[in-house]
Amino acid sequence: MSTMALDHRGFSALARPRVWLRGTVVLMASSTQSVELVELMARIRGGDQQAFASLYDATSRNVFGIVLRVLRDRAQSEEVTQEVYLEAWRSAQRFDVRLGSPTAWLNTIAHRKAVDRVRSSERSTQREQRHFRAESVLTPDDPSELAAIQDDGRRVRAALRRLPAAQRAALELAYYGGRTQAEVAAALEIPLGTVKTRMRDAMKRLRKQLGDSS
Amino acid sequence: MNAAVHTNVYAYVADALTPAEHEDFAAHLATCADCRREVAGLREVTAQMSGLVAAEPSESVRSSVLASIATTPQDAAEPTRTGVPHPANPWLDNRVSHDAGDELAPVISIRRSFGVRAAGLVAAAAVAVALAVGGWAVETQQTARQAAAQTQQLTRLLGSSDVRIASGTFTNGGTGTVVTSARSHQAMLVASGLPALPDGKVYEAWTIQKEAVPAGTFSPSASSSVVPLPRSAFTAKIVAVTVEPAGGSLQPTTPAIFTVSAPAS
Repeated sequence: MSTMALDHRGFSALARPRVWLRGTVVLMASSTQSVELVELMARIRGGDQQAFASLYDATSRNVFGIVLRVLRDRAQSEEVTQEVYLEAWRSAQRFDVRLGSPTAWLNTIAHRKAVDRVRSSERSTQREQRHFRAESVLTPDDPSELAAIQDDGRRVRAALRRLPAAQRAALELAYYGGRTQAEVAAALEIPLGTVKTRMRDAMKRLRKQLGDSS
Repeated sequence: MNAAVHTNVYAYVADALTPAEHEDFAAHLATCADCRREVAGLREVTAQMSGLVAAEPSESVRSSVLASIATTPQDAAEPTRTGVPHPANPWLDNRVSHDAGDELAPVISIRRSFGVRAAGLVAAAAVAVALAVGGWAVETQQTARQAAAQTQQLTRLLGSSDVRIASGTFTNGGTGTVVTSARSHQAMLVASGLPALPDGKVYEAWTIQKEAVPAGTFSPSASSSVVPLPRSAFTAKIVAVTVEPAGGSLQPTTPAIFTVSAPAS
């Protein structure tokens, strides 16, 4: 019975693909429940509604949270959240753990739906003129949130804090603000190319920080 | 299509492209394995970013969701097609054809907060498992193919519809997770954080129903080891590990340093 010793390469492996390796992807499952979520997905793929309820309970705060952050409107956010989970249920057969964790899967659907909704519900002129929230996610809306931050939250929060301010601003406006790169450029009054560079650098740094700390 | 299109990957995962740019990039994904890997990895980062703004929805959302799924059929699994952006589900922009096989081999780092439970035949005490599927350090060319094969195996295992997982801690500080899928006829032990052994010693895994059956030896030289387990793992009650002389033993000669109830099948 042969075994292989593993050397867990961090995210830096992505930047320097090894010739002898195909398909090196480093995924960080952020949730402390990742193992259970993978098990739940297996059951959900078989149509298990109880398992889906458990998935909802484990993930709805994250899904609703990012939708709410992008949309701002609570009622709309609850609508979109329902759509996210309905889509998740419908397409569960196509969830593939090779493509990422269940958390990332749900977040991908959620963020995209929220952004689509916010762009369709605001005409472009409104969006340009809309006062954008200058506060970073590093300033919690509710002080009691500080107490609720778990270990995983602390790590990514610290990683965000360590970003150069310019990179963080571009990333936050785009991701949490649901804005296109062009809109970020206009809001920050910088060239589009600069926005692209800052977002790239910000995400690479975050990925490295989150990867190295595993 | 020029090289600049790759740089859109960061805006893509942040949903910060215009609709036209987005379509272009989704089409590009079909042709670029590097970008697909980037997208998969970056989506874990954005998932963590979202965690910072978590908020509680009303209870009515839960009941609405559960009511609607009760009357909604699930889409059948279909052969995946690349290059066609899925209108409703961006996750599927990143799909690869099943034939691609080992093209995407995720490294899933699964962390759980450490909570020590009473020792004994108990699963899932505290786990920090690095399932490095694809991120192998191979020392010789010959083992590269082995590594790739095991990569695929573990990936498929994790994707099985009946995958079962049981975890535990080693008495010397490491952690171990047993992953099984009866449907895939696969079982593996992933052990991490194990100290190196003195010369002439090796870790050996066992599956135990009535008696201990040898299940493979391993010598972790880096952070994790993946040990394919024999079929006995499906009928075993316990998976255990002991330290044995190099080459392994037919029966355990030392007390178990790791025991876990085999995942229920």
